[in-house]
Amino acid sequence: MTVTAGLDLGSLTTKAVVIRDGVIAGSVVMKSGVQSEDIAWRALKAALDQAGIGEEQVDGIVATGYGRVRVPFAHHKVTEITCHARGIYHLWPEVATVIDIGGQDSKVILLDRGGKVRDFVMNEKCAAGTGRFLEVMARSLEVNVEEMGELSLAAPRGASISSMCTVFAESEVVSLVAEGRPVAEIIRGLHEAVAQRVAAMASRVGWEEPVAMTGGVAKNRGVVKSLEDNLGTAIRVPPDPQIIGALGAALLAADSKK
Amino acid sequence: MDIYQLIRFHLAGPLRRRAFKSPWAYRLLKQLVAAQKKRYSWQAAYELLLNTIDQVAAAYLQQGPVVWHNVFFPTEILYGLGLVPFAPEAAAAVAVGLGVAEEAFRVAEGDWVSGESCSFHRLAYGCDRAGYLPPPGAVVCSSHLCDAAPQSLAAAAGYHHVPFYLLDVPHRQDAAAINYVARQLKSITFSLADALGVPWDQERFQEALLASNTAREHLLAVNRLRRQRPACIRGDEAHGFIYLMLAGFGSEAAAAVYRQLAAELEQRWREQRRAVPEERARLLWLHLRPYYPTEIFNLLEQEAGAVVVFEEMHHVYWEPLDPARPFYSLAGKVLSHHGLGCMSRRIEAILAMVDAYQVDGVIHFAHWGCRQSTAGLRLLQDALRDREIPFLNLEGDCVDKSKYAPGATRTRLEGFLEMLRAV
Amino acid sequence: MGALIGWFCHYTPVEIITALGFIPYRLLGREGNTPRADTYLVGNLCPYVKSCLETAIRQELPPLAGTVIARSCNAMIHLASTWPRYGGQGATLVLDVPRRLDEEAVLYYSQNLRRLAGELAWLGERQLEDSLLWQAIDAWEEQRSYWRGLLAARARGEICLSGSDVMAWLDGWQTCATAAGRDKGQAGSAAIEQQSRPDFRGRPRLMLAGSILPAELPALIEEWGGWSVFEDACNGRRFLLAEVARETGDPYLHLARLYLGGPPCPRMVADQTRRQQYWAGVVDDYQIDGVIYHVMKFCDAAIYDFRAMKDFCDRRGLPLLRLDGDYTGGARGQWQTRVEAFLEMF
Repeated sequence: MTVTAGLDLGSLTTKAVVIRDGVIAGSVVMKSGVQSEDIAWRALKAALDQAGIGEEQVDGIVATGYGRVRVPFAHHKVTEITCHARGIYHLWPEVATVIDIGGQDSKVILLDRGGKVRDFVMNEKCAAGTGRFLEVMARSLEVNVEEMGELSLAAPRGASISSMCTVFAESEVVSLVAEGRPVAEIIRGLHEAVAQRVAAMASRVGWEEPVAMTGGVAKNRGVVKSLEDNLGTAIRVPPDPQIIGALGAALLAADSKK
Repeated sequence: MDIYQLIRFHLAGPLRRRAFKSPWAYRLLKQLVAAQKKRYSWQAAYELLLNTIDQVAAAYLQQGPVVWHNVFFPTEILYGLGLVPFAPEAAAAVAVGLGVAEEAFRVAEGDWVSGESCSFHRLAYGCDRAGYLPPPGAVVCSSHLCDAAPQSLAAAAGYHHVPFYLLDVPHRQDAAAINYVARQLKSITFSLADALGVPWDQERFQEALLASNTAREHLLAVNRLRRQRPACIRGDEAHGFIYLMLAGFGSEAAAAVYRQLAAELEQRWREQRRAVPEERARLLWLHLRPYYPTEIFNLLEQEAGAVVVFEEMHHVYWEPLDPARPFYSLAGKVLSHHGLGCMSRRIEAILAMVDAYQVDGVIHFAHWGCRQSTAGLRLLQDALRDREIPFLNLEGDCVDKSKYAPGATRTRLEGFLEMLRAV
Repeated sequence: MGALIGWFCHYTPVEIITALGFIPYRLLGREGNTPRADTYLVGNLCPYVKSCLETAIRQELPPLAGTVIARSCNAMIHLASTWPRYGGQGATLVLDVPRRLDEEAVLYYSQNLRRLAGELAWLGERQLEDSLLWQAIDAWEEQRSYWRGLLAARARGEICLSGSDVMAWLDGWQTCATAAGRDKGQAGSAAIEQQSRPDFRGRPRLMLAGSILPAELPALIEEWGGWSVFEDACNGRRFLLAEVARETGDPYLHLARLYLGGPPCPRMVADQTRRQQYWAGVVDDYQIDGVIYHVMKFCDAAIYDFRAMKDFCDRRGLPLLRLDGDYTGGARGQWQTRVEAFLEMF
């Protein structure tokens, strides 16, 4: 029996996945605190408890995400790029492109037939297209970020948001509210703007079908829908898109044991 | 507010400004550097530093007419006239290390030079207005490769009420273009001599061209040595010599430094002294790098064994100069730059470097606000993809450290390294 | 009926295009953001250039036999590399434009223009004879002089024309797909001259300056209580050039002098004194009360040109407002507060 764990320390949430012989035995998602070392340990413990596995039985741990460098007990540190690729390859080996929209960064990853990273591209400094952008906009609109997906799907059309600079876009959103545009339409407009940005990144890297999406924003059906419209293809979203990075990390830990 | 902070606040600026104008400061600095000669792993770097201090001193102590120039202007002309060249863009890179950057950025921003523009020029602008730079007697600038340099230098000339000479560089390389550039170079040369009251000395002018040719020969030797496996110099160490490409051609010092560097490289190659214990990958570096401490090179070279074996900025793109036809051959040099004209020209040059230096991957440092190097990258990316050469566009800022995001940089670099290993 | 040739920068000599039997069609981009162009050009590059590329990728342009791209600034240089590969239809012809005005520059530019004429002729059916080119030069000068006269009359208060109308006609004139359309545009504007227009007299007389002007800006400024009496932009007054003495002999030399000697774009970096003199002339002739400067995001020339304008306005005691824009039509909300507050100062 091989037991390995993957920890994904993102800017907003920390994810832990424990796998036993290639099957997920436990997984948790927690809010990231300031003390990432502590949160990493707590997340790992929680996932192990869920799986009913003791610490001493763990054969390998891989840490990923922004906080990966601050996990002293991890055996390896791997970037989220390789981890998301590995996680998706495990679920759907035929997937050629992974889109991951996280809190800080969004990325488009191209996989080769063996699930290895062939190329990747990440968001530009000035561009909005991240979870953080949506969060800032949700605050301007006084809605809960989790509700945005459902709200936007109810809108018949999207308000046009032209600027993609966070500051410009925020002022545009405020103007739209002042003009009396329904909030749902504004949110749909924001989703379309994010989707356009990410679709542009995907084109830069030369995306191919099939496409899968991971990361917290993948839970927002509004963004996924807009992205599908922009790319003109269906996008696969795993049941728990947030944990794919951690899953990939756990799988990489297992790979290194072979 | 703390009284000591207040004192420092009021005194630090004027003190530093005064220090630049004191011959003692330079003598002291040189002594400090000389005392540590043994600690320089490359004697060429030690010589480069001493020469640079001399050059900076000459400008601040006004040992001759000071002429500001951008880094693409053919400096052979300035050395050939016996002037003191001073490059504000290079000064900006130095200012980062002297702790005046924050103040300078604030000055520039307060003067409407907004954050969207190139920070080299914003920083130089701020340093100048804050009184940190040696006032020019004249300003020269070429229009290649970027738009910010001519704008910013023209503004500086206006501010100091000194003449501004633009070298307008077209993108074609035909006879008409060479004639146009050569005639401008000639006119700028004699206008400078006239405006600054320096006598025309043909012999001195030709010597500058010969010195430029000698430096070119030694740099070519350096580059040949860098093609070999394993690499004997880390990119981190080699990068500093780019300074000469930007401000040194035409001086005897540049030739001497490159000669020294070639000799040291040759020796290390014979002794098989490797740049890193295990060379796992060879990288080509495009554009410049941050001039404040970052972990970029440490992570690549020391941690991962991915050595930067060549920099695009060290590429010798021009033919030797002909001292008998100085302006015509300098025009040829200017127009030979691979960054001019259609992007396909730069791509061709980069692909040739990929082959010559046997690189496994290419990193472009996308300096925020630099349009010339960054805007057309998609074409380069496509060309490298066709050749299956991994490419990373690493975004950041060469001189504004507030724009540096360590976590994001590490993720991108490590992701790139993982991809390299997978290839 | 000739085929269309696209062009961007106002230093492009439309006379050559017309003389060869083509119809010059100016590319002015589109409203909205530019997700497809963002694929090929980086985020922090001129939004106008990206907007034009976007129209091409989306196939929103009329069929073009070719496009002339003047490599006049860094963004245009990159467009020239990107256009043929990712966007443009037909041939792409590039034109180098000097950044200075002197005899060397005029001579070199004239050589480039002659080359361009040769390349364009190759696309069409006829060689360009000098006599045909002179005819086109005269025809264009006639039209420009008409427009210049109209704008001068507006400034003197002899006729009431809004800045938004002027911009709309100029846009229409530059993008008119047919010569007949152009005549109609001219006739239309002449007819409108006779009608009574909204009277802006008594309002602050403003000069709009800076990067290529978003078409909606003059209208918005007038909506908010200002009066745009002079538009110093490459799609405004600058495009109408200035009268020059007719040369005899080489029409290309004449064109080079005409274009390089016209009201200077901020890109003419060796020519900044002339730019300041030009502003001074405008302020005096048109009794300008204040200046609104539009800085296109990521336009290096405009960033530094604004600095120069600031010094100029300080010296002349003129109020100055800077507006940042990204050419997407989305900055209205931001602009409104700034413009209204600015107008309250008068």
